[in-house]
Amino acid sequence: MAHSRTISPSTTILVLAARHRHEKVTGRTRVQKLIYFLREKLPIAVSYTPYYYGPYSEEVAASLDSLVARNLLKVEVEPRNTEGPFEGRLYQYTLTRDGREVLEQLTREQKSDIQRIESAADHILKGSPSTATLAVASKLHYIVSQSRQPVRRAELSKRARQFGWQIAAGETGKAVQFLLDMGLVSMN
Amino acid sequence: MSVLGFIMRPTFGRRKESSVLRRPLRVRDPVHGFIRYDEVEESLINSRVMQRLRGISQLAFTCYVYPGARHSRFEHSLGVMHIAWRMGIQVGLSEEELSVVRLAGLLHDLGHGPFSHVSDVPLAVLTQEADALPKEIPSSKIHEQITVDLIRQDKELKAILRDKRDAVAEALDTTKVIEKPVLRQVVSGPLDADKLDYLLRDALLAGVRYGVVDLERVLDCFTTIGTHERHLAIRRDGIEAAEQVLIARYQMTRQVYAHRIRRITNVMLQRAILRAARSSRDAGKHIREVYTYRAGDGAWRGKYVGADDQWLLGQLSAFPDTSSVGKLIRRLRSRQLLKQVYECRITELPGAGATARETLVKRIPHQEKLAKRIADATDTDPDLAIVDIRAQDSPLYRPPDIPLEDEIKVVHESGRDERLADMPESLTQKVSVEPEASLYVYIPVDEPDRQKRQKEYAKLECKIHETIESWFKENT
Repeated sequence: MAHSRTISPSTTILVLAARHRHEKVTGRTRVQKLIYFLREKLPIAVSYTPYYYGPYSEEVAASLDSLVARNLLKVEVEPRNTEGPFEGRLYQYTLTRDGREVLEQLTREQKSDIQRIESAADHILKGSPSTATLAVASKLHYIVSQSRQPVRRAELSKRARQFGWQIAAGETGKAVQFLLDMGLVSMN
Repeated sequence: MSVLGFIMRPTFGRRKESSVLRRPLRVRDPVHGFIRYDEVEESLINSRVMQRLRGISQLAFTCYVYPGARHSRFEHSLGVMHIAWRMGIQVGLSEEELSVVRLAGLLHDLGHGPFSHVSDVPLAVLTQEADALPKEIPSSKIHEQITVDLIRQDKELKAILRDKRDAVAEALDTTKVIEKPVLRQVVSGPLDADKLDYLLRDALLAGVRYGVVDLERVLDCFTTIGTHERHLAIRRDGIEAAEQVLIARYQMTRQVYAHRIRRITNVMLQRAILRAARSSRDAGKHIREVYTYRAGDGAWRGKYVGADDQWLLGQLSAFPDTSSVGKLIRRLRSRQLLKQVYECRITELPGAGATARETLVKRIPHQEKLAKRIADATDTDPDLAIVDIRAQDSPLYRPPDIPLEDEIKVVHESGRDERLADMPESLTQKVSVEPEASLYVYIPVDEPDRQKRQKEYAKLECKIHETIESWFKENT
């Protein structure tokens, strides 16, 4: 029986956590957006739909919860988010010792997959994009990818409203540059 | 000096009246009293694909715990049509838009398989094994895609829906963008007509009070954000009503949807379906065909529409008593169910390091080998020993909806909107379903005497504990 080969979201999240400083990823929004972009390069088994803070995956949310329940990630919740405009409560995910052990085993068993994720993650994290940039970039990318034709910059705000998003003109600069650097959009 | 402001009542009283007059037919319903409909909706209700839903139970074998819960997807679909209509009137949809949300509500569950969500797992597994799952469709949402396929392609529906077909399909096709988001959100969103009906209906027919919500208050608080691209939201003064829905859903999940017996019967039936599908018997082949989704295949759709609860039980009952399928189905039908004799959090499994735990969680063949080892150790028929792990990432193993609070939008008087989950005064942090990460073992314990049975459970629990510990020692 042939199966399409995919990468699991939980493996991806473990690799992402390991690539961050102190093996800690700050914010559910950040995890959602990083995997949104990683799936442009890798066959990760997730789907995204337009939610309040941009493209959102139930599979990613479920994987985060499951990894915490399996003690592979530790979660700390700050009651009030002071880091940015998202998530009233801020979730911080840190790789546990068990998580590190499992990741090492995965690296032995699925070396090439892990290397692909690491390489793609390093590419995205190269310029240390903020969560705000990633969030706006994911919205813009989603808008463009859902459109059958090229989208003019002036139309982006109007298109965004279709998904319930507000994107001010001043927010798009860094996000567009990120998308250009990643080779995910082109401009003419 | 305070000024008493006049509240401008919307004219939905007159609108509701004219909308009712356009729907002269009615049927009694235990939840909503009278449900009204027009001649076009009557034709849809009488269509083959809608009538099929009378034979698809809403809650599968939950009736083994709550005997009254024998309702079907059919009456639930009527209820969703009714609530979608009321929501649409509340937020000021036009007659044309009201018609779309009514039809979308009526038809939203067409694609369910036998025993509703029980079928989601074999549909996903067998479709993926055949490499037939289209890329853009998540494995947990196949039945939703079947719904859209039927609306777009079933001949009988096409003839009735005519020029409304595309709008109704669009409202339900969550893989595509929709021009008027509110039309989709009324039937498919965090606080939609589907949830409001099933919570009330399931609670009423199960006979529990947990799911009772103040429907009138919830409906009264709906509003929209935006002008042309309108999005469904609730007013700030309605958050308590919305939170009541959250609490009702939490309680219903704990008491009804995640009940141990429901878990056990679901797993027994899923194992029977998958084993049947992998056998060489004709009945097995039929099951395999039905559970392998084929997008765009009219002949496949015809077979799927012929499959309801009775059809499935009939196919499975064709297997001999001595086969694993036969043993499972006979026990299911006579309520001689497997018993949950062991439960353990994944992180507390005896003798297990992190890597060994993960291997067990991810690999079904490992779980089956462990089940066989447990069967040997407890002198149990291996066909009837099941290791059930609830720790996967897959949405198939969690409630199928997003956490409600993640997407409910609240609108303040100022016009500012925010998520319910981001409001410090919201109850959302106190009421949530904990992510599951547990291992359960189900085996038959047929001792009729209750006291003797309890002693048997205690012995089995120890035996299984030791077996799992040895297993991990050998498999580290």
